[in-house]
Amino acid sequence: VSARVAGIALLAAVMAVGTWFGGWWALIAAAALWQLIRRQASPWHAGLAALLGWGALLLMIPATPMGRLMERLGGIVRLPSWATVAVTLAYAALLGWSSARLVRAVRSR
Amino acid sequence: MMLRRLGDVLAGALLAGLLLLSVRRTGPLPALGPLLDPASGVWSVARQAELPPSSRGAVHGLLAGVSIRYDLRAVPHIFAASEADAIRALGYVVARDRLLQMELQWRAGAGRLTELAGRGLLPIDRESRELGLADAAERRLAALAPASRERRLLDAFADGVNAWIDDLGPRDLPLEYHLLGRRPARWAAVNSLYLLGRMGWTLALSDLEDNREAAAALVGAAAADALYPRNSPIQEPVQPNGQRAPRDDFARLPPPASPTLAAIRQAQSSGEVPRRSGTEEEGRSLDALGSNNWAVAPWRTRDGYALLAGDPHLELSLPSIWYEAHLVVPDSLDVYGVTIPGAPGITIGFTRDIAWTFTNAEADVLDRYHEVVDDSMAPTRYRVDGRWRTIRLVPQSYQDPSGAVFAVDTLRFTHRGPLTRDRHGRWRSIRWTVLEAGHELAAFASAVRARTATAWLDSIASYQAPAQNMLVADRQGTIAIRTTGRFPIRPGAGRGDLVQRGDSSAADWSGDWPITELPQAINPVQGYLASANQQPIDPRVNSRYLGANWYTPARALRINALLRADSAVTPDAMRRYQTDPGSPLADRLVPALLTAARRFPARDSLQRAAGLLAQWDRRYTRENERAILYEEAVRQLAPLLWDELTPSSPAQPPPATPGTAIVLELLKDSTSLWWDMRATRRVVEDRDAILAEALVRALAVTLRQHGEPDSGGWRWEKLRHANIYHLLRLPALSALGVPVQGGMSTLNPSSGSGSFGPSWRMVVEMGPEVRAWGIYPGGESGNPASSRYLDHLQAWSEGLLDTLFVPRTVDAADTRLLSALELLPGP
Repeated sequence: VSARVAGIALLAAVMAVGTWFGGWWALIAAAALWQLIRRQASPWHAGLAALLGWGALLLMIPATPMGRLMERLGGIVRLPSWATVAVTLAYAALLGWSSARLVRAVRSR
Repeated sequence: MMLRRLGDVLAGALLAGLLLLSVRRTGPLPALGPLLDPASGVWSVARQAELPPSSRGAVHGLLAGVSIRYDLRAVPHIFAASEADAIRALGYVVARDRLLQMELQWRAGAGRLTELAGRGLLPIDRESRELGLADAAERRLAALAPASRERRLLDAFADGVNAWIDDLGPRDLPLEYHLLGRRPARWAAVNSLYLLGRMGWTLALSDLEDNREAAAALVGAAAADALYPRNSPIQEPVQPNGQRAPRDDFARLPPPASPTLAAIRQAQSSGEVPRRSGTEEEGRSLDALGSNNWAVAPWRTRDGYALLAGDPHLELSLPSIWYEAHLVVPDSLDVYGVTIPGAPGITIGFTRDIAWTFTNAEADVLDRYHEVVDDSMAPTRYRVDGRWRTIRLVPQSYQDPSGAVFAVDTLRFTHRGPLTRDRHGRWRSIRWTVLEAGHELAAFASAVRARTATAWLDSIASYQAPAQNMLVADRQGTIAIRTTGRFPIRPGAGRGDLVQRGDSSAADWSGDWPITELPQAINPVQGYLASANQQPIDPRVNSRYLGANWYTPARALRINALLRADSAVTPDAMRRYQTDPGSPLADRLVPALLTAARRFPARDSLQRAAGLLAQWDRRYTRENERAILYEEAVRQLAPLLWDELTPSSPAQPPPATPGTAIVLELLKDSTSLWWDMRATRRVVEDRDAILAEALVRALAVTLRQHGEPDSGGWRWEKLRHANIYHLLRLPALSALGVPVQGGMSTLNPSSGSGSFGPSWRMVVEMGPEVRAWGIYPGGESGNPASSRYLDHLQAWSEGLLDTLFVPRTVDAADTRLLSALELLPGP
């Protein structure tokens, strides 16, 4: 279990750093690469790592302006302010998971 | 196995879908990848929300380093070695805080909004181009010598803005660019001129001719002239006329007459040039708009120093139309005030020696001409004095954000100005001083170096458009005002409110008002000066045509009354006057309503309404519970009284509602045919019958909409608010429903939509050390996640002013330091 957790944490860190320096597509690349290297891993791990990686990046933003921004963005899309963060994290998780899952499917053929 | 395969297929489809949404725009949704990226997407806006304690930047063209200190109100104090460097730094800091606003404003003036925000904005772009604003700005820039002061200022400002833009990474972009999925365009020198042209559109685009024609088609020419008169029926001019009280020049209004066929045709063919927006027209007709300024001589102030106050009223927006800044160049320049983001200098403000502010002159500086052309569909020539002249053709193309051309057009210009076709196919050209503006920026740049009020007026004398009532006070105690701008002299009867024949050069302007003839005053005997968009000069002093259909001078009446009554004015009194809740129009109309009610004692609802109205103290305080009834009565009165101005055909444009001064004029004539309602053919109503009916209807509407009088629903603050919209009209980024004190015709007028109001309030005391107070709704930052986005709003809403910090040196600025920025010469 601890190896799995460490792996996910490592992947999350790679995804966060990759996003910071490379952009959003780093999630897909990291998830795909991870799945290539660790064939037996569940694609959900990549999804979870993406969520954690982006979550960590969001946590690095100062809380007060972040709160204001969440409120404004929520108002624009007519959602509760927390939902804007939830959408962002869900987007990351789905990108990570679907990318890893696709790689696993291709490799298994 | 099957399930697993299905899962794989779903994952593939999901990834494909997500990738598609991630890389390309889908409807209003920008590409999701760059948008949601927590490092450089929309969330990065929160990282940039607050100013860092210290930072550095490089600006191409800087001759020396510039130190900038943001004070605790986030106002930048710029300390530079030269004027050009100060302007470069100004460009840099304004771009840092207001980049989107700058781009929207220059694009609005250039007619290029579609390139940023999509095809839906084509009508706005077309209007700007058809009015000739973009063409005028481009020709004006081309006419500037490269070494001219104006050109150097424009280039320096562009250097500063572009230094900021060039260094922008994805994670530095303002929120709106993330939402639009765009990057800011680089700044060109001409952009500042586009912006100034747009200000001319806001302040000096009149439709007097169309309005008068529309009225003449309904009630005849004589009545139209009386309803939209050349001279205000109440005289309280900007240039003091030596009288101790306002003067009513009331005359008997000619009765509504049947229009001639020619007048109807004329009206039906007019209206091609865009009118002001609905809200603006509404505000104008209800006397709910306007700017104020006034100055008091030292001998009428408590502390013996000249005082100056100003509050220009404009469409309110977030971020604000204004940006506060302080520019210091040792031994040369030390000016504090507000600038329009995109303009290379301070527009309204003060130095250690002088303070100045403006109100709009509301003069008629635009004329329309019917042209005779060689081809009714695509003319290339027009006839003047029996000879054909060539029309200047300028092809236009409109691009969407992808760069695709989606519309084309040809602009036409006569020697007068832009030529457009009305809806009946007739061609009209306009001549407009805004399109021929001169060297306003250079005039401002010179004026800020003046040491005395008279020197300031001399420096700004070359200013042409949009015309303003320019008020100035100095440290020596001089106060002065001049209605400054270019005012055309028309041939013949001199009227500018009639469409002229274009086939004769005799219809062209024959010159401009000489500066000696402009409305002006220096140190008047009365000891104060005030302007509030009223007719600037008493026609008994100078009867030359300057405009028509002037604002009812309600605010001028009020401020003059307050100043007459106060011989020891303080800065705080000046502040209080800016939100004074008194209404001189209510002082005149309420007694008339109550008198009318007494004539019909048997009407219970009328007596109840009159009883409630009599309880009103005629003040628009937030907690007031009777102003609402009066406002509704005035609203109800308009259609009852002006039923003759409602066209029977939708093809006929309705004229504007006449000003309240005309209503006051009519009150003196209780049996005027204007009081009669045409719909009630067997009854001839008189003044009291109509006033009583308005009051009854007002009570019914107010009860229906707001409940019983003392149930809390009648509180003024529940009815009238300021609604300050974000520039993209996104409610979540706006401040809506902000309670304000003031109402129709008060010094702090509020319009029905609440979208106009005091965009900047300032009070300056010209003592040995200048002291100043000011505020605008919003904050310095255009970033909605910043604590500086809305930090002034509450105080503004309450009519308070912030004390302005005016340090002389960097060291002094460091005593109230929020953030430091050092700019260095860049490559």
